Amino acid sequence: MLDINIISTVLLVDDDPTSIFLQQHLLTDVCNYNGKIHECHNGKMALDYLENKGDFAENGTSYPKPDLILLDINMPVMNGFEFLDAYKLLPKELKGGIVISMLTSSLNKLDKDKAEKYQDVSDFIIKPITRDQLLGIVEKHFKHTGP
Amino acid sequence: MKALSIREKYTIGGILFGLSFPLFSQFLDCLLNDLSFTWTSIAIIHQRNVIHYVVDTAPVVLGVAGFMLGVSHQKKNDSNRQLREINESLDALTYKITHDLLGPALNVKALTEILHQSKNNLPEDKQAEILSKVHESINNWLLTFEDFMSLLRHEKSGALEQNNCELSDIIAELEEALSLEIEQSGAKIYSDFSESPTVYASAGYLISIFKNLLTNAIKYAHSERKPVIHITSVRHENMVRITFQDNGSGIDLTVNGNKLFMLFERFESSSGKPGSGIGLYLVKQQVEKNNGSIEVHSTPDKGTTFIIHLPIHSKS
Repeated sequence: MLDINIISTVLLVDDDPTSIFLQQHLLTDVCNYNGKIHECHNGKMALDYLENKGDFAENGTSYPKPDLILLDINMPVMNGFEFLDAYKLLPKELKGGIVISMLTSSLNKLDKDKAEKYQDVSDFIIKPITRDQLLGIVEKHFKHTGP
Repeated sequence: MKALSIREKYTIGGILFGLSFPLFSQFLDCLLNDLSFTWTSIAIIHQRNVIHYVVDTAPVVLGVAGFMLGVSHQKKNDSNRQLREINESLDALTYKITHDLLGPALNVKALTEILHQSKNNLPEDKQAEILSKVHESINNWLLTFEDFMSLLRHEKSGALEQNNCELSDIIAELEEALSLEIEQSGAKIYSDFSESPTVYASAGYLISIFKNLLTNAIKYAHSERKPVIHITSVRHENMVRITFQDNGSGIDLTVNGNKLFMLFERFESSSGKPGSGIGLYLVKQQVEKNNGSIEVHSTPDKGTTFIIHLPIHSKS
């Protein structure tokens, strides 16, 4: 079976603490992931994380570049799509190799259509994300890059 | 130059088109009678052939016809736009309902599935954590549901029943209704309406306005101190100026401050509490429906002050 630990850093971007909790549970308890998990509560915070700005400015703690970002759409301050717009403009070295999967609880087809227009989005998943979906993402994007 | 309305365009079009009839018929008549096209010849052909007087009215008749056509066209356009707006707001509402109500419900489903599947394999503290998350999600679901219901009720509501309302009665009623939340949060509410005790407004709306402000002040309290809320009123010409001040976590209004009262806009708060983006939208709508206005001042980490102006008397 695929070992999820070929990835080592996951960034969860969601404003809902319960969603974060469920994703953490899926990663660690269900999929036996033992790498790092970081959480951000909106797009702005995630951008700061990637750029090491704001709360994530160099302060001794290191904030490794994530392999996988699970991105919610509907968030205050900066939503998922606004994050993607800003992400597109980031320098290559900050985003190279990052896989972004969009998660949403909306059944709105427009969101899916919109997400498909973003080249940086690899997958679009209706919440809650399942074990098979998560392993599928890792297999699709990381299988050949593993150690 | 201001763009012409549909009505004006149609009227001008009708007049111009109408002008072509007398011009053409008089030009033709001059040509057939070997006359040069001058005012004198036009007068002559009018005398010879009375039908020209009838043709001369064409610009007026077609102008009026154009005007009427324009009016009906504009009406159709207006109602189309109205329908489109209603459709758009329905779309936005459907989107929000699926997202905000489906989200917590799916969370509860997933959480209970974890409990169900793992039976007793989960450590007790994890089980307790999951249960408290279930509780939290259901609570959020109910709060959001209530917000949506008050939004729908508001959109449907017709004429207002306005009276002279005692502000102290409104706050007393709310303190009673919200006694549980107030007690749990340790909130202190100080109100002083002695300078201007009444406003002319709908009592139901006043309750809704202050309920929203009070629950916000409690919900977004500062994490390091208990909520303290001061509500006072002073008279200002024909208006009552009500100041509603809290010591909560505050909002950074320099970023997107103009969006605070907009429907479905949500703001970051240090408490991390979710909101539906409905409450303050309703507050503003309800204040304005009572011929009032609302403004907000806020400092992150210090607190927020809402200032509401409402009429002291009925207009008539």
